[in-house]
Amino acid sequence: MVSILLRPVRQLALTLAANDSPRQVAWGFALGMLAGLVPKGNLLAIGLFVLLCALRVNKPAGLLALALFAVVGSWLDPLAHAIGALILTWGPARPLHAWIYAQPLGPWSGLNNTAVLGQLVIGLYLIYPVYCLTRLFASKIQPRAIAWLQRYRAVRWLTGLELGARLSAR
Amino acid sequence: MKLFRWKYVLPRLALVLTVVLSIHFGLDPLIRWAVVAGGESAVGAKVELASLGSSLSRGEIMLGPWQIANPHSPLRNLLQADRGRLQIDTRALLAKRLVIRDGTLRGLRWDTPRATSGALDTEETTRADTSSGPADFSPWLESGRQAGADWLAATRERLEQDLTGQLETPQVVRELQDRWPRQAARMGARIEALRVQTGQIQSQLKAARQNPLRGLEHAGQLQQSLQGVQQEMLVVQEQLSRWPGQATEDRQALELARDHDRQFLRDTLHGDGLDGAQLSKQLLGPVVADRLRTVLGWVGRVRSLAPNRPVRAKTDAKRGVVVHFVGSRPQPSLHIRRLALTGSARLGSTSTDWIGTLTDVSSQPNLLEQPTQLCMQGIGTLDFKVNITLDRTGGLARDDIRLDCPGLLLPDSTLGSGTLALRLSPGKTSLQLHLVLVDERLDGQIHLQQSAVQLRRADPSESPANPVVARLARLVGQSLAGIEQLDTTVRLAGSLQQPTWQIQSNLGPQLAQGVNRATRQLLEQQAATLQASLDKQAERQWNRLAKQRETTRQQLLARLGNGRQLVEQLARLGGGPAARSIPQQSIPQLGKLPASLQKLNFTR
Repeated sequence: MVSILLRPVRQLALTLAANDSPRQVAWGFALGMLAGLVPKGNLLAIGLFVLLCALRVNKPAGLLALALFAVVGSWLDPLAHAIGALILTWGPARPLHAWIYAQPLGPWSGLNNTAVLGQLVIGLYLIYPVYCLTRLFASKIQPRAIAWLQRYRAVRWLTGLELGARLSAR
Repeated sequence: MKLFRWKYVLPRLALVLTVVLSIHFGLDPLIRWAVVAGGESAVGAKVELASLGSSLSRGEIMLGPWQIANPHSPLRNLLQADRGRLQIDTRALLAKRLVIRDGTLRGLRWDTPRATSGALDTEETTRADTSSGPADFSPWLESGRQAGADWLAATRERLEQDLTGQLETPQVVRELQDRWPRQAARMGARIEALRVQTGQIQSQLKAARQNPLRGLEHAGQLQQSLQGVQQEMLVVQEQLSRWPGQATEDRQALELARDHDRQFLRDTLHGDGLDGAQLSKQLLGPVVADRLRTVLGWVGRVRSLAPNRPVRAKTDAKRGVVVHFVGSRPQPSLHIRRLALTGSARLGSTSTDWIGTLTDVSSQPNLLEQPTQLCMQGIGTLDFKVNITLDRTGGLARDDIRLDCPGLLLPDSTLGSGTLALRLSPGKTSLQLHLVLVDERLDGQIHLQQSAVQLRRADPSESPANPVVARLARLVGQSLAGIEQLDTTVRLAGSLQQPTWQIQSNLGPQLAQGVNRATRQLLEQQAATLQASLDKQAERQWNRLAKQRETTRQQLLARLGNGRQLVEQLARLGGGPAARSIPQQSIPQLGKLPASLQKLNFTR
């Protein structure tokens, strides 16, 4: 029970202090950013979330990014709408959009929504820069953060719990 | 390093599988909940569905008995059915649409009673009733009722009014009764004065004969007095001789007065004529208004379920705009392509079974290429056809409703109220209804034709207390015998909420014709009776007055004749110039006087 209750706190600490590589942290954060930006309530958002959970990436970093960019995404809606409208009304791409829409589950995908498509494009555009920056950040900060966090008994206890959980799982 | 964390994926796959299985087995309750919740939200009253079964593989939904309560009458159902089967297009579900390709609903009935209240417990149930049809026809009906009441009151007043004060004949008779005795009295007084004057002259003459010397002094004066009396007698006699001529003139005046009264009675006691159109309105108005209210109420309810404004396709996106691509026409989220219907209905006093089809029903009818159509046809006891088209495909909502029922059995009903209330016996009626609603504008016609009509007064046993009204009521009853066919057309205009309508029927004119004829006869009879009574009375009074006047005249002439003889004798005794002779023919009746009057004395 204690493990379940402390799991979010533990994962927050593990975002930086876990044994995951900076690359995993960066991919987790980038995918979380993408899933956070896209408006919810469509198959695309669900697919991105499932992908985030299914891939071997740093999940705490992804969830953190998802929460953060869900807020940022609403601020970017006007820009996303403009980009989405531009793409959806671009003549040469219309047959492709129409084809996607006509496919089974096409209307559920949300790709004919200007905000969804716009946020997806923004997210895709930002994913690599965010990945690079996060990886850089993680590789530089992670060792120091681990050393700093390990000084605290609570963190040691939390990482111990996580380690214990992992060992018990094995 | 493995790409997938199978340890992570597998539990989640198991979770998804569980969810899928749950949906598979929990789909029926889920759909049932969705149907009930969606129905209640759309109708605003309870939707009850006894059972529901579904098969995703076959794309079928089987409905058990269901009923939808009437939001405006919680103890009645708007619609009720025994069972149904809906064939769903599962591919459309992948396109985020619910399309019912085909289906059947059996045992459909409308406006059936409920055991429990169908009102929802939420506040939404108290929303304003915007589809219950026109609110108030009472001003229109009141005007018709008022017209009938006015006619009745006017006719009653004509029959009951006292006209004797306005007739001239009694006035002429009264004037004669007053003038002739006064004239006779004046004449009698003059004759009496002559008698007195003659007596004085006689006395003076006697005195002069006893004393001639003294008498000579007054001889001239006596002579003048005698001449004066003689002159006055001549005048009186002449005036008395003019009495018969004057009586003839008075008789002519009386005849003129009678002619005037005859004309006056003809002018006064005539029927204004009951207006047939107004009578139709009064008799048929309440019945038609009642049925019209029901029909327009149902039309309003159907319209409230089929939005008459173009409904945009739901974007179900709070963020962004859903773009519809060229070549992919926006499709409604709910589309019922075709439903085969069977059910039963009660029209008039007949219950009958019917079959029908309902096509192209949608939550966004403006997105469809075809209008919604409902076709119903009676089978069994009653033949009828209903065609309803709700067209939302154009810019304006256009509804076309046709009903053709050639053998509708209507129950007996009461037409009108009060003295003019009629009872219409049950009979077969041909009913044709055609309503066209373009946006909010209503245009329509209802035609009712009933043959072998049996009409009678609503309560012939009860006779009104007032004899005149009772007589009028009897006339109305007699006038109904000639009406054999009832042909009524109601023309509708205005809007659904505020319709205006006109009734054209042969009932009012036929009945009015009979009533007017009978009323005219009644009034003429009344005038003739009054005239005859007046003539009889005037004649009797005239005869009495003329006889009395003639007797008086004879008496006065007799008295005057006696006086004349005395005056002549006195003139001879006086030895003066010959007295002016009074012509005998002036007093021809003198010889006819009774013996008692044949005296020489100038008696009273």
